[in-house]
Amino acid sequence: MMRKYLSFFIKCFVFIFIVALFSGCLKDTATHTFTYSWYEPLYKTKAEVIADIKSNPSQQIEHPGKIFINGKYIYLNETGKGIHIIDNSLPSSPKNIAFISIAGNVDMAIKGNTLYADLYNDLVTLDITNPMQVATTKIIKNAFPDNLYASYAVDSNKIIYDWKRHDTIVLSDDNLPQQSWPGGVYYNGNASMQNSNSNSGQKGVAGSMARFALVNNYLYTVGYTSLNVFDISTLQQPDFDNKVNIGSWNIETIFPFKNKLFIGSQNGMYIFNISKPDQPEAEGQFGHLRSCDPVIAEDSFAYVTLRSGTACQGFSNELDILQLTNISNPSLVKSYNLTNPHGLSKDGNLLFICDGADGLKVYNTSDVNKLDLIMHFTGAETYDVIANNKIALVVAKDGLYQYDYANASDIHLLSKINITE
Amino acid sequence: MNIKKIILLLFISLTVCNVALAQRKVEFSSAFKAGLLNGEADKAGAELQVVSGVVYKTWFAGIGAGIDYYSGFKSIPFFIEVKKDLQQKKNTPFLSVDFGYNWPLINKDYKLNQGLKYKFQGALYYELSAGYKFVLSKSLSIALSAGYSYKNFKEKDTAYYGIGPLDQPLPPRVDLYNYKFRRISIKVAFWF
Repeated sequence: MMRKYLSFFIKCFVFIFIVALFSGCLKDTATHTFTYSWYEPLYKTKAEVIADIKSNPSQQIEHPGKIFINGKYIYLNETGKGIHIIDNSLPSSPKNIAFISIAGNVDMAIKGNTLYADLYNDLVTLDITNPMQVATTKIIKNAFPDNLYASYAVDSNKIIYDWKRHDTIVLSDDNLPQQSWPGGVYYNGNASMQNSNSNSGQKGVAGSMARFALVNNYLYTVGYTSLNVFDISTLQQPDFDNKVNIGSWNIETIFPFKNKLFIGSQNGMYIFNISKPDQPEAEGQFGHLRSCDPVIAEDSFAYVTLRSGTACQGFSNELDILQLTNISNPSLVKSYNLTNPHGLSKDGNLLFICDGADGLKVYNTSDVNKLDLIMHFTGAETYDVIANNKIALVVAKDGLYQYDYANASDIHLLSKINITE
Repeated sequence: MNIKKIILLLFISLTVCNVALAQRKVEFSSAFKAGLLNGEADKAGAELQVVSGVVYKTWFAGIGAGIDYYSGFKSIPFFIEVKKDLQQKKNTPFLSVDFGYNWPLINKDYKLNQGLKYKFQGALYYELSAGYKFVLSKSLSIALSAGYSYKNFKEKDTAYYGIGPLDQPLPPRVDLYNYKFRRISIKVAFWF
């Protein structure tokens, strides 16, 4: 009996010894592989960039931004690179005819034959009398000090004219998951929701995402926190006039209506009185939860779309209709749920809303308490819209669409210019 | 190993069991096990398992499941167990092999953020052990064992935070983690 237990304990000892030998294998590992993308800036000298501001051969549309209609021409921003000129003499058959290279360009406004555009920090003024022979007439330096890209300040001599995308795979042996981002991945602190609209009496018509607005002899632009005023009495020789602190941050859009400027930010809508054009004064505001919010306005109501998303944060995706009877204290009339609204435009009783991946929606606004969805075009991820002269020009991820809405009961697609990635 | 293969193995095992039972040379047996898991983690882990199967002479074959908590990660291993008694006696040393699938049970809120998706995927589980079984009564025995236990699972995090310099959304950053835990398992089992 004793021998049996002795044998057992010897076996146990041998077993424990073997297990101890295996202890070198007692290793916990968490192999970590991550893939990410980043952009490398490509530089040119400022002289090279300025020399390139001219009517170049047309280019494929890749990353469309703001739009502006001026007569028979559509000016479409290629985000960060310049402006496409599209001959829209025949809306059913638009032609991409030229491209103006403007590094860092995001916004524009057009009055008559003069185009104002941002070139990173600078304001460029162009004579577009002949769109095929665009010429620079003036550059105001450092007009937009807010226009910086995340970690890249704009050098006074070298300018980023393009970006090269890198897709990277990294292997590591971290033991715990980490959420840090490798350097070189960009966040645009100035957000992605911009809007604006036309002002009465002007020849050009802007989309609802603009940050430039023209009113009579003044060009108003919004920066991250401020409202800038430029005197354009002499169209092709603008002068910086004034800078007003808006009292908020993350300013996104500006929409002129009569003697008011409606300014959209991620924190709310702000109304400025421009009875004294060079001295805008805050007159009212309507706050909301953090979201991106293009805004358009008319006599009695303002239409504000709130959206959540990458740069916008927040969780609201809706259309807010505000009563403007008391301009210093706009009140909410009604909210309508949407999917991911971006730009909007209104012509008469028709309200066009770009609802992101949910396409284009057209509402009858005869009764603001009961909007009637009369048309819903799906299949395109829409971004901005201009409804003008019975044609709705829609910028979408995959193309530039034009819809004929002369007959509200028969709104139909006229044409599409494809966008390539 | 994917779930289909595991199910196939389980099916084959049960078929073998049924054939053996049909020959009336086998009997059912089950066990409840509790153990400690010790590896590189700061604290020892714990495991509970239930196994049920058939005994044929000195062999046991069955299926089991349990809960495994180690290094802050909970998981449920599903496995096939094969045990061989080294002697045809009541009290006997034995060798045992568990082989199966480790299904992670992770508290997914621990890094929940807007714009972040995560997905967990199970992977291989196995354990090699040896021990000694003591018979306590006609229908109950106790077994002490020690062995090498391995569990594996994977995590995929997809983050949609990036915005490119042209305001375009960047492709998401994808983080893949492959967790492999190698531990010593010391268990006590009650067989009935």
